Amino acid sequence: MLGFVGRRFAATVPTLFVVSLVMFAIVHLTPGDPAQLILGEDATPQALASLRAALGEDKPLPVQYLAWLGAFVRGDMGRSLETNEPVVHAIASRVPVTLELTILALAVAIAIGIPLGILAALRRGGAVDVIATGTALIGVSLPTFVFALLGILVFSLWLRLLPPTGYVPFWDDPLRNLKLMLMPSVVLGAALAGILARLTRSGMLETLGADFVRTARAKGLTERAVVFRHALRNALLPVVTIVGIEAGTLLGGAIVTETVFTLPGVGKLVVDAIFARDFPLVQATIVFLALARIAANLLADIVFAALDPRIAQR
Amino acid sequence: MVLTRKQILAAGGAAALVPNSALAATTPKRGGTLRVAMGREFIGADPQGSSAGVDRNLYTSLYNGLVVPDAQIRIVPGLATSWSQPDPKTYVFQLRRGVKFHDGTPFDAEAVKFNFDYILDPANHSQRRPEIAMVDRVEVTSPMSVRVTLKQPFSPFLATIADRAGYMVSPTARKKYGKDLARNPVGTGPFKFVEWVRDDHMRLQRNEDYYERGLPYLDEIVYHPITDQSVVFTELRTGNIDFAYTLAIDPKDVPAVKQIKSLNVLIGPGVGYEGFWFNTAAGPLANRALREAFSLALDREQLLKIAYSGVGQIANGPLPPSLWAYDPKIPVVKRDVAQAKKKLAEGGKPAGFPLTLKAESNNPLQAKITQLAQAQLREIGIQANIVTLDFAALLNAGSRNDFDALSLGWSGRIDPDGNIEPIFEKGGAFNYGRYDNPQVDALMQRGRELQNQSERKPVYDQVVKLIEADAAYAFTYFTPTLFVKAASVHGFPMSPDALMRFTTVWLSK
Repeated sequence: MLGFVGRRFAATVPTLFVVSLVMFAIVHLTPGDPAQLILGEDATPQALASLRAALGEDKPLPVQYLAWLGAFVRGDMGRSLETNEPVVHAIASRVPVTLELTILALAVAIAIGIPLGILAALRRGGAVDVIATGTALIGVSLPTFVFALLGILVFSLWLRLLPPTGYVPFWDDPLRNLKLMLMPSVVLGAALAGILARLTRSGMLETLGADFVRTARAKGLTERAVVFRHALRNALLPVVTIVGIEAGTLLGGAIVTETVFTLPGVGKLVVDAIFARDFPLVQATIVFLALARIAANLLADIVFAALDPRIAQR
Repeated sequence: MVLTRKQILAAGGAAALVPNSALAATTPKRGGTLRVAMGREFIGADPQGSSAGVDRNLYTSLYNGLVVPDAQIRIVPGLATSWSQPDPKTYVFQLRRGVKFHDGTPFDAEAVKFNFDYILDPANHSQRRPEIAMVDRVEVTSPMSVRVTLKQPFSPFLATIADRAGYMVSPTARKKYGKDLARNPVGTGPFKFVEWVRDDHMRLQRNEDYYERGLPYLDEIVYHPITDQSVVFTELRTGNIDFAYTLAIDPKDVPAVKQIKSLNVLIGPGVGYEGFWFNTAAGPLANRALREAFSLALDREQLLKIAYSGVGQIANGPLPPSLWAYDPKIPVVKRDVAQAKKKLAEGGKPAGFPLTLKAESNNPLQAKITQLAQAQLREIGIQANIVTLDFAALLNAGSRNDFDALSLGWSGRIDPDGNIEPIFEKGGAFNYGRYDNPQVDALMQRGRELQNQSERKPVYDQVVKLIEADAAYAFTYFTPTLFVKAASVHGFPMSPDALMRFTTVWLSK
């Protein structure tokens, strides 16, 4: 098991390298000059040239990349071109928000998606199944921003139950934090809940029809034991993989959610950095997001390996 | 409906006064927190270190300038109580006594010199340096007076330092924080910095030692960078936000806001203009007749209607009515299809021609404007191919002269020079169209040398006529100033420079 984790971990290094290289190429090939954005409309050509030199933007791209990489591996992520804030500080202050949002969204997705899938499978073809699969379909199809605005309309404007925007750190005021995070995490988790419901349903249907379930039933086990101890554990294997992959996607979906609900998270940070051509910030944030996604996949693999010991031995 | 200048001024004044007049007898109340939606996040709180327009609305709370523009854009005392101009190149300022920076250090002549010197030092890459590049030296003549000597006469100087370039930063704080002053601002303004959680809020509190006795009234201001305009509208309706900045409001919501008793719309004249840049150096629009055809094809009233539901005024040039140099006698270009077709023939393209029209992406207002303009141009045979780019890429295309037409406005300055020089003078920082008219350049130079407004005004009349005759730019409308506030917010001064100033604001809830 330890060797398996180690091998997977070592494989992340080249992935991150490629991600950083591709990202560097993309941001530098996009038209737009950070010096112009920083100095603004009245900048003289001399002032622009002088600032470009000060930022190191006047050097050839490969030199710039190597300089960035060299500093990065030494732990120096540089400073934001736009705000002069140390990049590491900018990211670190945002991580708790996005992490909480992602974890809560994941919890929402699991808490809604899996029971919904089980229910639909057990009542296949019935009204419950139709409602459950219909709900799941809406969750998957509705774009995040539409769902977010609908949520704000209903819960903030009509019912006046939840504030539409704002953020309070969990440790400052846990209750207020959860109240503020409720809508964003449901919105963000909805699509995944839909996917998980459909996946659980099909997984359950498949396993419920499998031979070992018939055997379990023949042994005289209660229906509860058959469903939860035998069928569900097997049906959940693909669900775990999807949760791992989708946890990374949630980080991406968090960009839209954070923008609509005005949450100071990593997603908002990276979008603003891209528009500002704030290269050091974009680079470091993207590498961080890639790392988070890889970590989520790795975690899913470990859980999968624990659920199905055959995996780790391969 | 298109309003006349008088109507706008009246509407602006009335809108600002309505909530107050109802409570005219009530005296301002101290206390309370004003929650402001900004529409985007500040870059930073350093007036010498940012070019973002949104930041200007923060400086007005944290800092004071030597001089300030009043509601009629006259230059009045700020941290300087008086000034004299012994000769066209020299200004002597007498400074206000007893003023302290938020860190407790005194404001004096040394502080003024320090601030100017900081901006002028090329190593600091201050965004303000080009604005005051004409300053030769600043000398301390006594503890409370300074002399500023210019390299050449520059009549817009006071107007220039009434904006960002004249805000005074604590020298002690600057030495301590350097560029990080953007996150640790220390000024003399009515409010002190408390905290900034980026992308969530910035909190300021009343400066108890503020030099205007009894002001400000508010205990606190909290700025929220809510970017989604429909979310801001919800926050206003649910009472979570008391004041919304222009960028936080979708103009199409204005009629709906007017129906809500707990909210007020504030609309007034501004200093900026909207329209289309023309590439006068290359491509089809290098031909003046074809530029005229483009301009004649536009139905400006329709454009204004779609953009601001008709509130505002059609532009007759780069100088809006709120500036002293405005000339109402200069006519606006009216849509004239027959004349436009004649101009096409004159330009050698009787059947019309294709061109590239570039505009900002993710900007609903620009999307509406460019699509409507496209339809209007199509009627005379001009096929406008709309290309949208994000703001950085759009500016880049502009400065590389890589466009035929560009849909982009100018935020405006309180001196006419600032509304013309960057865009229409040879070598101007924003002369994207490479417009080159030596007559305009010479007149602009003269306008900077002449010292009083009555002499300067005829010069700018001539400049505007030349620009219009060359069809160097298609002016469409003057950008109105627009805010939404809760009915419980009082004492907000509408100003044509479209900036928010909360010193005299108070809450009645």
